[in-house]
Formats: sequence, C-alpha cells, structure tokens
Amino acid sequence: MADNLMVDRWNVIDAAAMAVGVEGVLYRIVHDKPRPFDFDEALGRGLEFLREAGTGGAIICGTPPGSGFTGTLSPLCWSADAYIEIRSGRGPEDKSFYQDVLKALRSYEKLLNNLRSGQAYDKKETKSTHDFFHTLADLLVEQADSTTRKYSHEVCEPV
Amino acid sequence: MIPMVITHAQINRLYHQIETELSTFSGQLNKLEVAHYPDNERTQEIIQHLRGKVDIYQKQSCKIMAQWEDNPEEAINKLITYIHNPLVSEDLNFLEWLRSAQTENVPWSIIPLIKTLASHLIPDHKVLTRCAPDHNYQISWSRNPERAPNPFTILSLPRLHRTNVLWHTLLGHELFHPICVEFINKHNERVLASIGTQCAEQMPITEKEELFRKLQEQRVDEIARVTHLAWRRAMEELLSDMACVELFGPAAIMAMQAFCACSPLNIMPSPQNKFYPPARFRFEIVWQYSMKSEALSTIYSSCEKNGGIKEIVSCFKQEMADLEKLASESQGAVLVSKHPWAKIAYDEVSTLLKDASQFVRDKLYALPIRRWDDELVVKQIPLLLERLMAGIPPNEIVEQIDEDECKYITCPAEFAAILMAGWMYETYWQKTYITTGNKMPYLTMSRLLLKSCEDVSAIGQKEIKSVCSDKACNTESA
Repeated sequence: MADNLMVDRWNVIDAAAMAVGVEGVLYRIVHDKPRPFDFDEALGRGLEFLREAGTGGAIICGTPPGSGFTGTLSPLCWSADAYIEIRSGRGPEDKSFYQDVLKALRSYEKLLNNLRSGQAYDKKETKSTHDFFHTLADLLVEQADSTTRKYSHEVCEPV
Repeated sequence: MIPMVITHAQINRLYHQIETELSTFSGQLNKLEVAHYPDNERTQEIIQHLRGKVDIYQKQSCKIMAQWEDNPEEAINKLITYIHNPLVSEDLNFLEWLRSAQTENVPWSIIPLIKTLASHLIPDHKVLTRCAPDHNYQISWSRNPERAPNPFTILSLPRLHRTNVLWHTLLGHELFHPICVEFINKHNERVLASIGTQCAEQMPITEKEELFRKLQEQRVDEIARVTHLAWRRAMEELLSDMACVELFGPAAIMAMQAFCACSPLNIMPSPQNKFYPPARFRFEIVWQYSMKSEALSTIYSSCEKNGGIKEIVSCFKQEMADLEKLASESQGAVLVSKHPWAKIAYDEVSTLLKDASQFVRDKLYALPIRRWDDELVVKQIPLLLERLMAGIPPNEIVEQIDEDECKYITCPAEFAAILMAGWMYETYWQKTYITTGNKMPYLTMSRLLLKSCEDVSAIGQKEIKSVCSDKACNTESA
C-alpha cells in the first residue's frame, strides 16, 4: 500500500530529454547551424516546462495564478538549481531570489515563443537562455543517469 | 560521462550499442508474445505498443545520426536522453511486467474479476495485473503520454501472497488511486499556495533551533515541494483507504491491518518512506469517516441468529472492538503534528477530510458494484460462513436443490460477501487453529476463497447488468 506510482507530467527522464532538446535548438541558433529535426517538438516541450516552472515560481512569490494549477514544484526546483548554478552557486539570500528566477523564466518563455512563431529574437537573450538550458540539461542528465542502473555490487557485511 | 572531445567513432559506437539494445528488446518481445496469460488481449496490446515504440526509437536514432556533425555533444545527449534512458529506465520494465503477468505467476482465478472491477472503477485505464517480488500492492500509471507505463496501468500484487484473496481486498484501495487525481487537482493550487506561504513564514524560525537550522540551508521551493508532496501522498492514501472501506467495510480494515503487521504503526512521513502517512493515522481516519457501525451491528445480528457460526461472530466482534479502540486513541494524529512541515501538510489534509469522504461516496455510489453494507451482501454473509465452516468454497448461495427433477437453483456470491465472510472466518481461524489437522491450513482457506472468486467473476458480468433490476438471485449456475 506504499503503492502509488503515478508518473508526473515531468519526471527526471522526461525533463532531461526536454532540456537536451531545447539546448540543441538554441545552440544551433547561436552558432548559425541548420534547425534540428525536432525543432517544433523541442520548443513545445520547453515552453510547457517553463510554464509549469513559472506557475510554481508565482505561487512561491505569493501570486498564485488562480488558473487551477495541477502540477508540482519539481520544474521550479530544477530551474532554481540551474539558476543558482549559473549565478556561481549563490542561493536565495532573500525573498527577491524567487522574483529573479520568475523573471528569468518568463524571459526564456518569451524567447522560445518568438522562435517558435518565427518572430525576431535577441541574440544575447538567446545565448543566456542557451546557458540556462545547457546547465539544466547537465543537471538533469546526471540525475536521469542514476535511474538507469543500480550499484554494480553490494557487500553484505556480517552484523 | 560525455568525453571532452567527441570522435565519429565514439558516436558510432553509442549508436550501434543503442541499435543492439533495441534489437534485443524486440527479441524479448517475440519470446513474451508466445507465453500464456489470463488476460491475453491486454498483453498482446502491450506487445504491439512496445513494437511501435521501438520503431519510433529507430527512426529517431537515424535522424540524430543524420545531424551529428553539427553538434556531436547534442547527438550524444539525444541518443542517451531520447532513446537509451527511456528504453532502459522505463520500457524495459514492461518485460518484467509481462513475465510476471503470465498465468503461472498470477492468481488467475481472480483476474477476470479484477478486470470487471477495474472496468467499472477506472474505465479509461487499460489495467494489467501481475505479481511483483515486492511485499507490496501497487498501481502504476503515467500522466505523461511518452513515459511508461502509459497508455497502460500496471496493478501489482505481492508474489508471496499470490493466492491470499483476503489480502487482495486491498485491490479496492489500489483501483481508486487514479480517481483521487480529480479531487487532488481541484484543491492543488489553493493548497500549494497555502503551503508555500506557511513554509516561507516558518523559515526565519529556523535560526533558533538545531533541528531547523539544517533545514534553513535548503530553500523555500524545496521545503514547499516536499511538504506539498507529503500533503498529496496523504490525500491519495486516505481517499483510497476510504474507498476500500466504503466498498468492503471491515474486510478492508482487516486487510490493512494484516498488510501493516510487519511494519511499525506510527512512523513520521519522510523521504525514507516516500512521505506515506502513518498506518495508525490511516486507521483513525477510515474508522472516523468511512466505517458504518449500524451496518456492522446488522451483520452481527444477522449472523448471531445462526447458532453454528456464533463463535465466529464472537471472534470477529472482539477484533472490531480492538480496532475501534486503536482508532479512538488518535496517536497517529498526534504524531503528524509534531514536526513543523508535517503539521503544515496534515493541517491542510484535515480541512479536506469531510469533502474527501463525500467525494469517495459520490464516486462509488454511482457505480453498479455491491458494497459490504448492501442488503443482499448482508444476507449472504452468514450463509457463506456456513459453507466455510464445512470446508466448501463460499461461491454461491443454494436456493433450491431437487436432484430428482435435476433442479439446482443458486445465487452467485457477491465479492464483498466473500471477503466479509472470509475475514470473519479468518478471525475465528486465528483463534482456534491447531496444527493437529482439526482446521484447514491457511493456504487451504485461501484456495477455497480464491476458487469462489473464479465463479463470481464468471457470473459477475451477467449479474452486473441486472444489478438494478434486483434479479441477482435465481441465476442458475452450472
């Protein structure tokens, strides 16, 4: 009865694939490479992730959107981890930290939306968004890796 | 670990490795396809679904390899996260799920009944029942269309208790889990906002106490995430417990107690136990919100009329009195208010319990499933107990037998009645069992009950159609 294994919309395997996909799109834009085969799909999943993370951020900032949010805070926590990493490990010193994370998430969302709809975008903004997704991908790929295997050996010591 | 300089040979090696994984996976599916399953239709559907996924993975890997030169790191990361990780971490589970759903590995007699119950409780879920090596009941499904076990739902029973139908009362709990999502989603945002605010308010206090100082190093989002998880877990378990007790009454509580027998009753929700609520708290809540004492009294008086089963009723009454005492002590509620984060989560739980019990009733009372307090079920319990006392499977109620005229009119036993009679008999068995062979062994009792469910499931589908016309009796069984 410790039993309920509902896989959330965002689990670490899926979130890692999302981050890798968005990072791939942004890398190609920054380096003037051709579009990847999964351009639309990657941006779609990236936007979905940023919306869930952003709503979580709004809730923590005390401004719940009142839209019947059914998700969890996992995307926000992963995003905050990446944001702290980008800021060289500086965590939340005060309440404005979550306002900053939320602001950043909103700007990434705006950029992905612009890319998806073929509108003009800022190259500098693209670079900083790429940095975020690159860091997020590193963190999540590392976490996802541990789900693919168990310890290679277990030593049973006598009690 | 991705190498610093990525060569073509390295990418090729990874690509061929993944190709091999996909090919081996397909080979395993071929082997599983020819095995025997009690629910062959579902297993074939799963195998076809997995073949489709392998096809998608193969196409994706070709597309990734066609673009690798633009960004080798991207190609490697995509091969790993788009194909290798989901295949190894998730799809691979299906092979074990299918193996453990084969006829020899499951209580096949009860599988059609589980399917019928599931089709009424969670009609949108494609359930596969299997026996797992864990000492656990488990239901697993995915909200994410790309992740296992989506589009299927895996229901796991504990392998060592495969034939123990009395424990399988807990199926009522498991099959309600997916329904809980509706209630939780309805309250999710308000509760999350409230938890977020309360956690943020608690954070400054953390400087003063040793226990809290460590937590202060963590962040509001992390604390709120786990507190929210503790709330969600508690709601999911309590709603499902309530549903199981609404369906099967004292049989559900006895099954919960038997299942928890090897674990401490009062453990604080924590990451180690995945934030599950303490068993004692769960007993207290279901006793308070879902147990119907009037229905219990009716069963007592109905059974006490039959002198042959009086002793059984006496044993069962004693067990119920002990459980009521345990539930009335409220030790579980005291425990969850001891830790500040647990208190935040469980205060939110408490405000929703009344609505939760109403939600459970609204969902279950609309279904054509006879519950433990149904008039027909109550009428059947003493008659099934008589059969158990005589060592006969409690699968039917004999209405009339006339061998000269080849007349054999019976009424199929209701699942809730089998479970109630089974658990009542079990309390008597526990008190009186002696190894000299005077009483049937526990495994024999389990087999008798399992056999009964086989008959119920065969009749059950016809019966459910006529449930509203009150013509459940007089069905002829071979």
